[in-house]
Amino acid sequence: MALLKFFTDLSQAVQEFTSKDEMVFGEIVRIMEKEGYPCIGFHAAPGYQSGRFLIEGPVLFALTVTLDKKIAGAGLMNMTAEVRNKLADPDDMIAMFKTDFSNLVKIPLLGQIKVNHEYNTIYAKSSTVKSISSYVESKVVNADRLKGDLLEILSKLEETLKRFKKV
Amino acid sequence: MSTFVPNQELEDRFIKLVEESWRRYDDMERNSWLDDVFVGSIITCHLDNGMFLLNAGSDGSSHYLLFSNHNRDRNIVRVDHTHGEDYLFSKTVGHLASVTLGVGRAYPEFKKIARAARSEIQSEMAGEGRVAGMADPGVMKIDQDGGIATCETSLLLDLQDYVSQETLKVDRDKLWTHFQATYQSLEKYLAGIMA
Repeated sequence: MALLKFFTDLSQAVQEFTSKDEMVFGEIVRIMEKEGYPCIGFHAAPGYQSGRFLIEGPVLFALTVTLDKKIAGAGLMNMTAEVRNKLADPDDMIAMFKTDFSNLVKIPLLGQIKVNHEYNTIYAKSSTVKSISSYVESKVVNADRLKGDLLEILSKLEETLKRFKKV
Repeated sequence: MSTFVPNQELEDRFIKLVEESWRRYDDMERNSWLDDVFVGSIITCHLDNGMFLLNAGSDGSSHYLLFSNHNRDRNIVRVDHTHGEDYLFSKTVGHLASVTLGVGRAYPEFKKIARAARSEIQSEMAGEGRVAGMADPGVMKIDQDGGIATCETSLLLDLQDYVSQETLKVDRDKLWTHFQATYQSLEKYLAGIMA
């Protein structure tokens, strides 16, 4: 009996140790939802979690956060913000073609942020190499620190994309 | 040199057509989000109630979530959204999702867990996937994961009972009450079997 309990405890401890990314990702989903950004896309696989969140703000339409585990607790935290312009007027389409599209070659990298312009949607992507597990302190995710980091990157992405938003 | 002179009335008509198309596009897009909004709120509810996400997976037709707390209690959720994502199905029948909920509790007696797990064979005969690939609702199934005995059941839920398609707001109190009710019944059944 005691042996089974020992192995069950051990198994749980191992799972908790290897599941730090999932713990952090769960907290990201909660933080975003509490900020008023519901999860509109969800995909998870071993070592990979991705969530898309609806922003619907004055500039941003959505944000995708991806945790991609690499080695030794380190991984990539990718955040991709989207601006969506629902173009309907041919005059607006001509203006976009002559300004944003013509400048495309000049703007793929703004600081550490990569911009990708599609017809109606413009993406800004930030990739950070992180020790994702460092957000887990004494088996609990430090939600305040995680929230601070997420919102700081979100704000930078929004600033980058502001000029692409059509009113 | 082009001599093209546009007719403003026709251009206005085009703009209107595109705007109307965007409205329909938005409706279809929002419809496809409901299951993910639901899954997000399931995560939030569990974290709000002292659990953490221990494992997660997606296989194209369903999302799988495993929660735990530091007492090693586990809650298992699987949301199959195959039907709900179909626009026509969700607009006519409802935004249905087959939701499997389970609880896992550590029991110190291996023999009892193994004996209880055998009942799963009988439970599997209780109409698994007879109607549109959905399991019979409410059937309790026992399984075993190491020293943890699990008990799960399937429900057929209409996601619009929890998620507003207009605002994407989720009635999390209702969702958690319904999940708690299911978890309690599962735990009662499991405790009864293991007694």
